[in-house]
Amino acid sequence: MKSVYTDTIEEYQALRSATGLIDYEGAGYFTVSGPGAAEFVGSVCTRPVDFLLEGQISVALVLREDGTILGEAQLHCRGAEYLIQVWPAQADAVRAHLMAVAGDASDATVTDVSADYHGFGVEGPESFRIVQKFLDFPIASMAYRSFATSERDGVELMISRTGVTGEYGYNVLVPTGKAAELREELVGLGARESGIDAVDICRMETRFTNLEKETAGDVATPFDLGLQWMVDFNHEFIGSGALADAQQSQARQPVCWVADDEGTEAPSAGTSIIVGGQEVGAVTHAVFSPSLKRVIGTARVDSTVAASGLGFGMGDREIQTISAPFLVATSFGVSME
Amino acid sequence: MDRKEPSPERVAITGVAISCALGDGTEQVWKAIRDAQSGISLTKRLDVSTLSCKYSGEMGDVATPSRTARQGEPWRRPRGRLDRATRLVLNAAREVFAASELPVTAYDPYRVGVALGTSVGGLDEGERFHWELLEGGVEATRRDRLLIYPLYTSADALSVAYGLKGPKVVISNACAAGGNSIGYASDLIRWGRADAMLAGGVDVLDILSMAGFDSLKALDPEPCAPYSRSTGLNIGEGAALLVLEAESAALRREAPILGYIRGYAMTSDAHHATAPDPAGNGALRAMRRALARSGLQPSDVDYVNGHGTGTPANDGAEPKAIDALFQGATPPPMSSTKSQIGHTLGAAGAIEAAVSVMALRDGLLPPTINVADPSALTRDIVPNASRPATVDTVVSNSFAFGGNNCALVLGGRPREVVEPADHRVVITGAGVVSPLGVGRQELLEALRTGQVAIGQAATTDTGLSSTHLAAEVAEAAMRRHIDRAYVRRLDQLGRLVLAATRLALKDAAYPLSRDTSDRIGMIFGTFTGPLETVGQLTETIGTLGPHRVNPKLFPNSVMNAAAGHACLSLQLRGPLSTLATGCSSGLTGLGYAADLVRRGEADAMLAVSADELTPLLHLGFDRLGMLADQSVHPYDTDPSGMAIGAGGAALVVETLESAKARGATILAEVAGHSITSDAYRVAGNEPSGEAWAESFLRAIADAGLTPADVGTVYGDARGTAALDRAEARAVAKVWQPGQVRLANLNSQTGHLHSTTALLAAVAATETVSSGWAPELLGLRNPLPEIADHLKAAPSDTRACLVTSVNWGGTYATVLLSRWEDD
Repeated sequence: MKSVYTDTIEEYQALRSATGLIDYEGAGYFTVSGPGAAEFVGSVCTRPVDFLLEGQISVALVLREDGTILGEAQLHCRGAEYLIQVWPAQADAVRAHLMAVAGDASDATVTDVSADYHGFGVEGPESFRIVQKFLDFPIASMAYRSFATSERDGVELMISRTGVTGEYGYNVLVPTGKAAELREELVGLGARESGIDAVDICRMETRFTNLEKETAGDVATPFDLGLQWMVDFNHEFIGSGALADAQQSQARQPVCWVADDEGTEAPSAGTSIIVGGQEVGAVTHAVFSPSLKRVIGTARVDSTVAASGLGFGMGDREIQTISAPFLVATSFGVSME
Repeated sequence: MDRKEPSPERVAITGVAISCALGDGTEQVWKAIRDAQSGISLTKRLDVSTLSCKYSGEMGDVATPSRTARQGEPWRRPRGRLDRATRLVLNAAREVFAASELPVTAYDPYRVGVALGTSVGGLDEGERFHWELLEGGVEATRRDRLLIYPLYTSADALSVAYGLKGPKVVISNACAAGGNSIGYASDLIRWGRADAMLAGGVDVLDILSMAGFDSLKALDPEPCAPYSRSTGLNIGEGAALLVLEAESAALRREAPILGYIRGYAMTSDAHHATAPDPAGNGALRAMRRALARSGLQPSDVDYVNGHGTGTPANDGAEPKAIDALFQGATPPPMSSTKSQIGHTLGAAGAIEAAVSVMALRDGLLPPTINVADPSALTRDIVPNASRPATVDTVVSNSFAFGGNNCALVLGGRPREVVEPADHRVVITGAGVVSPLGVGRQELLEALRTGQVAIGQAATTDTGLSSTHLAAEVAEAAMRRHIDRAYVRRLDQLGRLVLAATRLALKDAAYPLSRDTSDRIGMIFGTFTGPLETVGQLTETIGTLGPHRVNPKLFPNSVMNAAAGHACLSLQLRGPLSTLATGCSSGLTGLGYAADLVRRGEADAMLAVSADELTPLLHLGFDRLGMLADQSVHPYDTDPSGMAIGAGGAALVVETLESAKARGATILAEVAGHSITSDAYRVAGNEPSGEAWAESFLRAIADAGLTPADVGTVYGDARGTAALDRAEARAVAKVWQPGQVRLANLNSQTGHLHSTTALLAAVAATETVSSGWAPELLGLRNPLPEIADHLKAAPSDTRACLVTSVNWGGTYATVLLSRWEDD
């Protein structure tokens, strides 16, 4: 995934006010089939798929045995088969893990189909107008976290309503050989290619976790990142045992913050968070939000001060913790007519 | 309710009555509609000072009908205090009987029935009971309110007033109820289950609906302007009744035929708890199917009486569905009667159907009023003035919370009747959430081993009651079958329905898929409805004020919310309806579901029943002195009282072809069913058991069997004086001792209102297959009428008759038989 195509702010504006195109080059795609498919997916993910119906998507985490996060997975139910989609930065690690544990599953077959598919994100308050052209039913009927297949000139597309910006968001999956053609078509329809830097600002603003940044190279459990909402503790999965212990030993908790000043420079991960001269935590990730005209970010702080509405020091700046999300997506005010 | 095969009947409309904010009486209302008058005014009867909307389609005082019958009128005013909804319905009935001159006495009384849609009913009485409790404690509560409160009271009153002993059904799928009731009644006639039906809807203004819609910000602070300004709705009140008759009978008596019900269809959106599918997909499918059932094309439609509430959500989605239906052709004129009378909720579909009949009669399109700038319109909504037109086919739409859509097709001329399908209907799975266990096998095992789930209430607070027995469901065991991400949206009823439905689909190994989701639907029946949620809302209104109602709670307060959630969660998009005929709702729903499958409206249907247990409900029955304080003894000379509880049951009914094609295990065949009424009194049951016995006989005849073919009867006696004796007498009328075996789950599972009978149906599937039936527990001093019937009997796989009774004299019976490959 490219950091930037032309200009991060302009690409950001496309995502927030029109339509951005995100190229998920390098994403991981894995199918799980066989009579034990649902059980296998449930055993490697923090949420079971027992309740998932054909055409629905669930999002879960894939953990190591020690409860730390390998990656986030979008679980698509295709009837008896599941398609697991993994963000590019975590694709290799999840691939290795899945293939290793798949060997033990006797009645589920895991196939790496990453080379067969290419995914594009089409996101922004106007994105539905573009994606409608690829669907033969009214796009307004498409529920969040659902998907449909659609044939176009003999090519099968899988179109899902997901997204990482908080705006109307769609994911279009196309056979790899047709990816360049589709990219060109989407751009021609008005989707602006947007790099990962612009996407990352949007993700932070609406509090979609950036795993590669927020773990800051360290290992992290769902609790460290505030992702326990993606864990169903009522089923057993790889890492579930360790996770129970991790909750006990968690010293610091994640918070969101906004800088008081209008400076545009985002602090690096690890920058100290201070109260009364005492270090109580460290920044995990920060970006400058063009919409808020403030630096915004996440940090992990001591449990005793992990609350929103508090003031902290960060280097020579002042910050306030707040409740996520940082802003309301533009799409909330846009009707899908 | 025996079937007359084979020729399906045309369903003639021979009478119409409407009362609403525009007037009392059809011609007065119709004149006001023609003159484009508005019935919307400042609300007087309720204190809405804290709400955003002060307007409604309110009626003045509703007179109590006189005791005196007019000449030739078979009228008997029901005893006791009559609430506003019942008075409205009775007044409408007197008008419609006068207009249609329906010769009730000339018909077989068991073939003339009532189908009534309502969403509010006597809710006001329940609210007052609750407020009296909150203010003055138990002693301050008036018991008589509890007898008026249930939704079925008005239907019972109609049955009593005119001696109607045929099928009696109350439909309560919120704002689709009126249209659904007319559709249901027309099916009974079309398919030979009744000769004539009184069908319609009623709802009165209530503070809960006003506060609830206000909390959703769905009310327009001004008189509403559907299809133009579209900034919200106004609530209204009213009633409408249609007399539907088999055309052959109407012609025989030379009755004036005002029009025909040509067909109807229901669908489920499976999109959202309150909002319609924004593309109108569910609405589109309902209209398409209703036209197909009527043998018509979209191009045959001359006028659409739209749902047209005036909310942005409806007015955005409905025109899309209309445009999709007409596929590029200019749609016919469409107008919203709600612009003149407000949204009368469960009565709306009935009033609009009645208005459509008048439009057919006079060749006049009713207007949509309050259009500020007609020149800005992009479609013909008959703005601001009625106009003459040639009208022969009308589509009348009703869409509701829970994604329930209903489209009715009315016509002026007789048309060719579409020959319906005739599938055999089998049961292929069951889901159980009961005090005796979760899942079909757990229930059967508990019944086999004689477990009793009735005990001192452990999780339900019975502190206000003088008795403390209950049959409670293990919450944790139930929750394992519900998606954790979804459970937070559900109240007790929603959890019971979703868990039971999921278990049933799993038990049937039914392959849910996107391609077939519109071929599977649900009929849900309940006595209690979402009482937990309704209680929370009335408490808020009574203590903090109507403006403090929680918008997250209100959508769950309608009877059909739980079914809507289950369809949404499981993506079931086929026919969807909710019945509220009290304790007979579950079996009535099984019959309805079986008929829809039999006639090709769905490949499979879920027949679901669920009932809650809440402290308020326990107190209510306790106040009426109906609960046991020790243990439950059915059919006893010294009535023990009953033990109430919570539960959910779901059966998958499917065409034989579908079951065979997918290699399903067939548990039993649905052989026949019937509903009768005793026309005795509101909140009372006729003691001789005649109507009840008649429901046995008619269900048996519907199955093409004789009483001698029945091996086991699953009764519904529950430890009360009146019902137990009536059932004993009914059984004794039909069978001699030794001819039939009696089973009854009420003393084991507790009386779960409409749900016990569906649990009995689950047990009956086992009976017809293995011959086993649960031993009747709790017998002490059996009534002499039945003592000899209750002696132990050998294993028997002959047909099972499952029956249920509702307070107020409704008897629903279903016959299940062993399925054998021919």
